[in-house]
Amino acid sequence: MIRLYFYGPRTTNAGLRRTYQTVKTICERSLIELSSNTETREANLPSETISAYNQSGAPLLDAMQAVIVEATTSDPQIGYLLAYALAEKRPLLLLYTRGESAPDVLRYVSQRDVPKHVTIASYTERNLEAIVGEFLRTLGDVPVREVPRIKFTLRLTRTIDDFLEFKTRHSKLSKADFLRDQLERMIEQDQAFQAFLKKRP
Amino acid sequence: MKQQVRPKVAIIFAGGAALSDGRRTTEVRSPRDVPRWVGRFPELQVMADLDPVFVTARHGSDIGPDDWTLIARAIQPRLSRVDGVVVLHGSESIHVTANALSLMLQRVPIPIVLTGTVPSRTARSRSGDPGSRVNILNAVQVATADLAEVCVVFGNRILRGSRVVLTSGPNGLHFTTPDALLIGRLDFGTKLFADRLTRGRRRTSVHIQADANVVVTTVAPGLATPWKMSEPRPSAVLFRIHEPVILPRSFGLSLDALVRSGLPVAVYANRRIVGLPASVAQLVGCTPSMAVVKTMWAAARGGTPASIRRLLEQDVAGEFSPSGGGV
Repeated sequence: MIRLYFYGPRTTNAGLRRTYQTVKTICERSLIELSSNTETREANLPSETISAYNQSGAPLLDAMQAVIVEATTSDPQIGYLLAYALAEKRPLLLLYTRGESAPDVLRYVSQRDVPKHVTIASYTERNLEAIVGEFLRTLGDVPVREVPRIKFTLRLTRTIDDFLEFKTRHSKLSKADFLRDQLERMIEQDQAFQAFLKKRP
Repeated sequence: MKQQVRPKVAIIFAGGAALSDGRRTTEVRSPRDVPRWVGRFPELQVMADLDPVFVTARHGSDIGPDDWTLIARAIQPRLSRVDGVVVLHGSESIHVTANALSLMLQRVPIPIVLTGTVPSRTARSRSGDPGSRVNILNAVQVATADLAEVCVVFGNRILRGSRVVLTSGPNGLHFTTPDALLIGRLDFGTKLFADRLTRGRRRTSVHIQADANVVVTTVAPGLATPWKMSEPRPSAVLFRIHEPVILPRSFGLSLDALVRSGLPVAVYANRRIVGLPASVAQLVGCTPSMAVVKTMWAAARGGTPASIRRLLEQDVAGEFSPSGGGV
């Protein structure tokens, strides 16, 4: 499982907070072990791992295989994470809102100094998911999953509802997640639909 | 782009600056090497404007009072000009220089951060570097934080400079404090604990001196005591006592005689020794290296054995107090 750290500066801006949530949702749905300063518990790691790092004296950031930073607002931590990723050749995605100025830290990194493992992207609400998904795919075998956005009302029979209740009772999945999982599996296995997707512009 | 006021950090080269990328190693042996070193570490410029200063290329195990003085003198004029100072130093004796700087520059208004480039991890990073770059990056980050004291940054630990000790850990060199307390940690960024000294306007007390002409001798079961005066006459004598409960009875008398001859005498033990003459300074609760450094520093201040004793027993830079809060 890939370990990733997401940093989002403290903000009251509703748009940025939605961005943070979208990034985290994409990562969680892609089965990434995500640590983030935006969570109450920053390090999402087993306690044995944390203990081992504490004992060895290595920072927990060393345990992360990649970093995503939302850099629209100024924050000194952004410079540190960028410097760390450059020095340690750690994959980094640096995001900032399209229409805003590029992050100030980029003034100190010349174009030719930006290596392949660092991606700097301006995003909109519309393309954020694609940008993050593309970055996650570069990390290796990451099953990037789309974030569900389309509301769909479905009336069920009592039996179907009982079935969903039965299948999800002892799992972390909601009934809606269970149904989405089943449909995604069907999509993967439907060769005609896969061929259709490839031809679609 | 949005303009942001960037912090300014002085980088003092005092050995311990070797950078490796797996293929080549870049060291700083003279002032001429500094621009090349800075060029090979462009990541630092992302974090701060740098003011690089060459002081010495001496190996960590050779660094002594003359070098502490040079380092302190390089730092002092910068205290009002930069937001923080990073001292790159051979890891073998970072703790000793940190002890010395804590005494020489008291109540500093900014962080003075010492770090080194001996690996703190067994595995090399993807960059081929054994951990030096991350130590230096972390030190620069701490140098811009809300902190105002001499400290050591190594691995994920931020330790008070007057309390730091060198030990060995699973991955080689390891720094800690006698009470295992820290003033901060580095995990995903800098986390500072409440007991640290924070930035603020204060007048720095400067006492840049240390006298190497100090004798350090050990008192242990079976060793001949008392110590006999040698030539040339030292500036002070420090007795390190391993087993206070079995001191020879004549020991206290001989120490008193030394003090009455005009020689400042200090004793370092893990607890206060009952029955020693009041004329002898007892250093209890500080680290072993601090006992030696403080004796050198106090001896250089000059004065009578009584005034030196008072200085030795005074808690000047937190050297006798438990340090920090978190673990």
